[in-house]
Amino acid sequence: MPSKPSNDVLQAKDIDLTTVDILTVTINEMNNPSLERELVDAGLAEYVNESEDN
Amino acid sequence: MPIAIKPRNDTQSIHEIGAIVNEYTPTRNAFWNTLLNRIALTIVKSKDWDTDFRDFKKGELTIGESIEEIFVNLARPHAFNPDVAEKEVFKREYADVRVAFHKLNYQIFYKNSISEQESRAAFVSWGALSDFVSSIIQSMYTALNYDYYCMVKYAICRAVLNNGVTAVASGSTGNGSESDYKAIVTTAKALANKFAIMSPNYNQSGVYNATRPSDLRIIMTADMDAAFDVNVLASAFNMDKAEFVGRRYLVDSFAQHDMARLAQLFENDENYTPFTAAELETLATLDCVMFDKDWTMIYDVLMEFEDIRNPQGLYYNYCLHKWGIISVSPFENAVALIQGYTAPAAPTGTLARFYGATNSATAPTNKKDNLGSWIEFTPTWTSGGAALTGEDAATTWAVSGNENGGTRITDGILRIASNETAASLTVTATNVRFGTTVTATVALA
Repeated sequence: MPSKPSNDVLQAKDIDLTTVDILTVTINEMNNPSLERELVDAGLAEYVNESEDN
Repeated sequence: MPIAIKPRNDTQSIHEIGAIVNEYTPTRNAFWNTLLNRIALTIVKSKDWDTDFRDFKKGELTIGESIEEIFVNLARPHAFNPDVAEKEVFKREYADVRVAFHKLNYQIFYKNSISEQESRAAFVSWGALSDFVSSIIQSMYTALNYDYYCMVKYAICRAVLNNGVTAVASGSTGNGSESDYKAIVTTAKALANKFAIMSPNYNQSGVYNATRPSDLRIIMTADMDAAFDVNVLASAFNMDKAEFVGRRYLVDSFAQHDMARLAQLFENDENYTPFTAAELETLATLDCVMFDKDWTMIYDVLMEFEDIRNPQGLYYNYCLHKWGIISVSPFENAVALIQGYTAPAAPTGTLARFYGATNSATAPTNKKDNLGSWIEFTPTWTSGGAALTGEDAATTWAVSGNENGGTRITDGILRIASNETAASLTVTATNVRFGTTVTATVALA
């Protein structure tokens, strides 16, 4: 049965981070370009322009 | 360039992410290392500041492991008198500066392991990953919060037992009736008002200090809090409801402590003393503690994750280390409201002497031999036939009659200037807790 990743807030009380947030931040913090490229190539992630975030 | 995970509404996408992360061992290790050290640590740190007693924390020490707390007491007033001015104009007078050190007093760590199966199972579904990460974080910060509560409660109760807090009769008899609780509130209200007036009576060191109502903090039992409407309690302390709720803290009981947990937390702390049955009985009569917001000296010194993978057992071990200082200030106001408390009778004091000039307890035959030398005074305070010890015997010193500013007394050691011209000196020892004084005269001619 499909789960709902975007709304999947961690069960720990008061942690308002979704699993997707955790995964995204962790992979970005790893600073591993080849891993990022592999995920993007597999259609599991997309590059984000930093200036757009700001 | 940063990436954003594009979640699809299926389980397949998390499987694929797990496969990519897990296919190369260094990548998998880096993933768990980052997850623990950056994400989990950040969340646990923020949660660590969100505990019941969070307001008692002063901050984080980035350098060193101890705090030096300095308090400058009131300057002494002098009456205008031109006659003595010609003699005293160059006389030295030092500020009454008090210093207290608060040292690193707990170093603990929490250890947990993640097996190979668990790390792989985390990528079975989005929900599994969520549960897995939250279990890591929750186990850590729940332990931190509980242990912080246990340690702060222990430190406050120990301060009460060691006379680090001024004890006052609460007016209650401990029967839990409404009138009993009302008596406590009446006493507390009077003390809150007295706190705002400069006084040496409500701090351990006996320095002049005052606490504004907005800086007052109150710890009371949950039972006492439940006995009153919060508006009644708030008005007793001249606060509105919201103000009061933010400044009152609850404990289950002052007499119930998780002794097994405390023994683990302070395993290597030689200053940790478990509560005895008699001490717990005393704590059972403690109704509430009121104190200045600066009374608690609580600092975080270190908090970090460390992790390592065991290639033989195929598991990750990770540890969360937490070091800190939990202490109370001897200079800030704090009172304990205790059922049926009666202050011990004021003690009497005696002073023993040891002469530097003769290196013995015998005074030199020629009194002038004391000039340029020193005399050590040792006080003995006795109340009800028993010698007082610890904070009850804390003493401050003063010398008078000297005509040379170089003659002074520190910690009971009187240093007499070689060119002192006074014929005699008077040494006054004051018991800090009771205000009792004892004097001794030193003849120099």
